[in-house]
Amino acid sequence: MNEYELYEIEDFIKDDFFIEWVLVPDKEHEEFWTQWLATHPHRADRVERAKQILQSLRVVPTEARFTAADLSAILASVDEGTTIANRSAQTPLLTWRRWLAAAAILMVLTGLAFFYFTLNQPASNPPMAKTGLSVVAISDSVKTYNSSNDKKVIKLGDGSVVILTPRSELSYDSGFNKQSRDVTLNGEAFFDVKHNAEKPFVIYSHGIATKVVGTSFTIRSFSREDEYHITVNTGKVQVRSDRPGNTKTIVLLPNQQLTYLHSVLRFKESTVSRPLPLSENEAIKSFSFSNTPFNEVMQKLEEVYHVKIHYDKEKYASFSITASLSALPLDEKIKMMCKVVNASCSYKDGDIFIY
Amino acid sequence: MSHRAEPDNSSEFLWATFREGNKAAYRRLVERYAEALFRFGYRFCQDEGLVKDCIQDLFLHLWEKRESLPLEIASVKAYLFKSIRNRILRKRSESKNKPFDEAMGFLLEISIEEKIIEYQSDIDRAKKIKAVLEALPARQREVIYLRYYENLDFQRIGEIMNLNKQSVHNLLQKAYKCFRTEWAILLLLISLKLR
Repeated sequence: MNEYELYEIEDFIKDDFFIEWVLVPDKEHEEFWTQWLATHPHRADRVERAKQILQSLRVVPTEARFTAADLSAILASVDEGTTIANRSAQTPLLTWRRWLAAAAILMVLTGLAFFYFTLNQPASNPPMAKTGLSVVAISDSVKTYNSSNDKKVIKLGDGSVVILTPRSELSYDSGFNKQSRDVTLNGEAFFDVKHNAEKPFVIYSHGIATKVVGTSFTIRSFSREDEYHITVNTGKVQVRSDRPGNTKTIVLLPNQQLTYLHSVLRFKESTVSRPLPLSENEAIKSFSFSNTPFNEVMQKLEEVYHVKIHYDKEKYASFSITASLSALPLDEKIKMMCKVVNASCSYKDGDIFIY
Repeated sequence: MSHRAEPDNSSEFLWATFREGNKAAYRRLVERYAEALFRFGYRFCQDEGLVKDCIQDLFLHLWEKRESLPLEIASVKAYLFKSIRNRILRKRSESKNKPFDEAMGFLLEISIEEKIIEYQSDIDRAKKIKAVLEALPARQREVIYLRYYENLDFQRIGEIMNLNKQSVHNLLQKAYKCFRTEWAILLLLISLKLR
């Protein structure tokens, strides 16, 4: 390895141990080269230039792309394949082209706006949806991804509200609010679930199932992180691991939090050090209003829930509110405010509009 | 070449869960790998319909035959890549009426992100690397793709290409040797031109 001292740029770029370090480093390579650079600082510029050369090389994406529509076609055909109990050998499988057409029609008919985006193209970035919330309909499931830098509000069919943190995704299918309320989360979100004892609300995230009946809490479960984390604001929450053979269920109460480490398959419970702003006692303090100007109430809601509410500030400036909204979930707080000022509200593109 | 492949730990968990009939886990696997399989498969056969059909067939087959699949596999990614590779090569040789030939082409085009390079002479060097890489034999290009673009180790590459670890290592060494020879030739040609 002493030869490295005499290496010129062209020697580095042809050396496999160097190439491995630049392109696919591991501990061994990192240790060697960091040490070597420390002891040979006068060669650092050659190393830097060789590094730049290697890092500038990109694999050109293939001309043909695999699109969200293709994925939906495969998932649709898979659903078709899995519901037919005994598919006879003679029945030819619809090729992806036919399914593509069917899936495309399904997407249009569901009437949901969807933004075409290419999945993970390495040499370019996916086009950002202008509003920050990308909604994609794949077969009968809806996926909402927050690509903006702010939290965004989603209102579900049962009246529950989800506040999605940036870079997080919520999905659910057409079965939502039929027999049960199932959603899947990848990332972080605050849930304000409408009470319905008949239809439990279950959140699936990386193998953990979180079940509630009507309550508010925050779950954090990113693919890239080892942890699942939940903090409970109000109500009671049941958490269980989806892993086969695991029957342990943990029940959490307000101001309790739970962490699950996937790598060691272990749950860790604890109580939060400071009561959460939306937990009962704190909420009573924050949301009891006495002759409070409408705008101030709106501001409070925005602050505590981290959402953006759009309304005509001048129009409602003269209204003052005397009410205790603490026990109400977010959706009902908003509805109550609208009733007071005789306005309507809608949830669009991740924000709340009052008009 | 820079592309960070996804860490694989939770895929093995998804696999175990799907094998026991969990459809949601199965869908997650499809969503996670379908596109990468296309990006890889298309390099063997530039027939979009054929490749997408193969991916669909593969996933359907996996669901239908799930109970006969191994419960635990070391790398879901390697398993899927290997499966799609076999399927596409087989289908390709069927449609062309030629025998299954491992040495058939592997599409790999390189581009250069010039703005990260400070010196013009280094840009020229990068272009030379590009020329050499694109001229390498198909299997060596494939190893380079799997190693540096998909970040797979020799063990996994071996699984995919049906080689043992040592053979993969040798293949990569051959590529480097080829590379150095080509480089020297290119240098010679350029110096001759300058005279």
